[in-house]
Amino acid sequence: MKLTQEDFNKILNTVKISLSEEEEIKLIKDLNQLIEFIDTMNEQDSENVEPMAYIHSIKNVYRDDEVTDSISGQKLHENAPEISDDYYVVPRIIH
Amino acid sequence: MKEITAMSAMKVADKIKKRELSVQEVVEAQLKAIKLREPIYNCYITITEDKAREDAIKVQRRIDNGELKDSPLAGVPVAIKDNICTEGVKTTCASKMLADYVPSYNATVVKRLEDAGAVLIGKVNLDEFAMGGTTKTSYFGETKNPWNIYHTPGGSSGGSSAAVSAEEAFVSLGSDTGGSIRQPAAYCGLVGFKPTYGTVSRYGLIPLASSLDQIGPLSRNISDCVSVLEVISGHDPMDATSVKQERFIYRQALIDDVKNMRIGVPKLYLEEDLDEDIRCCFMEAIKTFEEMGAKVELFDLDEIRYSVQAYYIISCAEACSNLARYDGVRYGYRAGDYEGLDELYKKSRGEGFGYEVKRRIMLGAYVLSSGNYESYYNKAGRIRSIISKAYEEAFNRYDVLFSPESLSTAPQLNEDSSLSKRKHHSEILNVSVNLAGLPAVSIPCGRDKNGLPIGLQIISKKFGERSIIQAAYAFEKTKPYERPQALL
Repeated sequence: MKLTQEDFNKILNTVKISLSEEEEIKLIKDLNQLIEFIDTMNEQDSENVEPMAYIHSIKNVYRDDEVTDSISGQKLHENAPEISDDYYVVPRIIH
Repeated sequence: MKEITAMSAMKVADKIKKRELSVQEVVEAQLKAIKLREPIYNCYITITEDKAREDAIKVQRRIDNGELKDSPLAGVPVAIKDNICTEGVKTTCASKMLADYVPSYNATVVKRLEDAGAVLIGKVNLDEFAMGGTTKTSYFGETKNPWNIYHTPGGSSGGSSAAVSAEEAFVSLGSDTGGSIRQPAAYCGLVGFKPTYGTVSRYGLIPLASSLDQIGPLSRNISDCVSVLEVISGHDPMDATSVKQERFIYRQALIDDVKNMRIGVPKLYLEEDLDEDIRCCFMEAIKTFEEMGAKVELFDLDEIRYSVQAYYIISCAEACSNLARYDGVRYGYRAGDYEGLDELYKKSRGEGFGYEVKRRIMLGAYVLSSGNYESYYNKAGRIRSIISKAYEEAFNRYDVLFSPESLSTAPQLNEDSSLSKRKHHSEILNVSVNLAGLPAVSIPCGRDKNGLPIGLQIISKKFGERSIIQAAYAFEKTKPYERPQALL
């Protein structure tokens, strides 16, 4: 197994997802199977090839710096699980 | 009623234009068909009944005022995949995470369709966050294939394909990251078009993998497809990756002539364990093109062999990053019970996302983690370069490439769709097109021994949409659209 329980826990902590015990067992197995599969790409020689991230030639896209309408904060807050006045509510983080 | 909803989008638009039908009549007929068939197929997550009725009146008024003379879609009911934002209408991504999310803005494609007088009839089902090929991972239940309800309509745009096939919408929008428009179109006997990356604005499309995602139409014929494409394509300042061309006109490519068209068929596709019926239909399609004067040639395209591996890495890495926004704070699901901020994040995401979403986020985080970045993420980027270049070279010799859209027809809903070697092979046909940003269509080219539809994929070079449309149109003349016999 390429992905150990320790690696798994480390990654899981970075993506901030809680898992049931059952999900965790299945996920480690599935990920190892997937990694084994994607490792087969190493049969392809890619030396001296630049990695590609975007299909058109990469250049900056500029626009005029003009004031335009934007969506109001109030409207956006309508979808928040909990707000107080104009603020999102989260559990206390500074003790 | 059946007579109206069975018409093509262009025919019904024409009848509205000629005052033979009112927009209200068309919308009522559509709503009636939806009510009749939804209990069977479950295409929709939200049916926008009241809004559609109100819009019908508004659109009719605009038509009466002579405003929509040039619009090919005035009064036509359309269904939108539920990962495309609609102002004031729930947009769920088929996930518990966004089950109550109501966007405060319209996606650019939605705005363009509404400006053109199309009537939004509802939001259609998909795999959760567009991750899958069956529409089975939806939080809102699975959708059935109108050709046979024991089979999947495909995915992730499975609601988009089933709705158009079941005549619960005239046309629909889907999104395609690795085949999610073309494969469901093939499974449901429709035309499904994935445009060149950058042709259609992604503003308001809830992202899966931003460098691969592209919105496109599903329809019952190529003319309907072209009409939607013309409306939704073109530059949008809200999407920096949309190309700087105001409008794209494709209508002139609806020509019944493929004489001397150079068609390449990658051997790789034919060496796979294709269903015999698919092989037969594919070879017959090639013969038809040869008889119409096209030049067909087999060639090697081995460079795309590792497409699926590269696709998994790139799409999961981008998804992992895109889905980091769901934190249970600003919008979306928040767990009921938690202690501290860290637990709020973990529980909200753990309870809000389904298993497939978690699997992809984890793979994405793995390939991006330090120590793996070079050997996975960058390696995949290098393979992407190789694939893109191989296609570019192929298009020096050919106008279009042909392949079967998939190795099999729609699988049964109870079939385990997890990792099989065959599935990986099947995906090469789809994902390599997204990695290279190319346009491609799936069009119906026959049916298998069980009566399920078979799709022919036509690929062209970047912005080569017109060649695809020309080939598809000529082929359609020899094989007109068939509606599912099982339809009520």
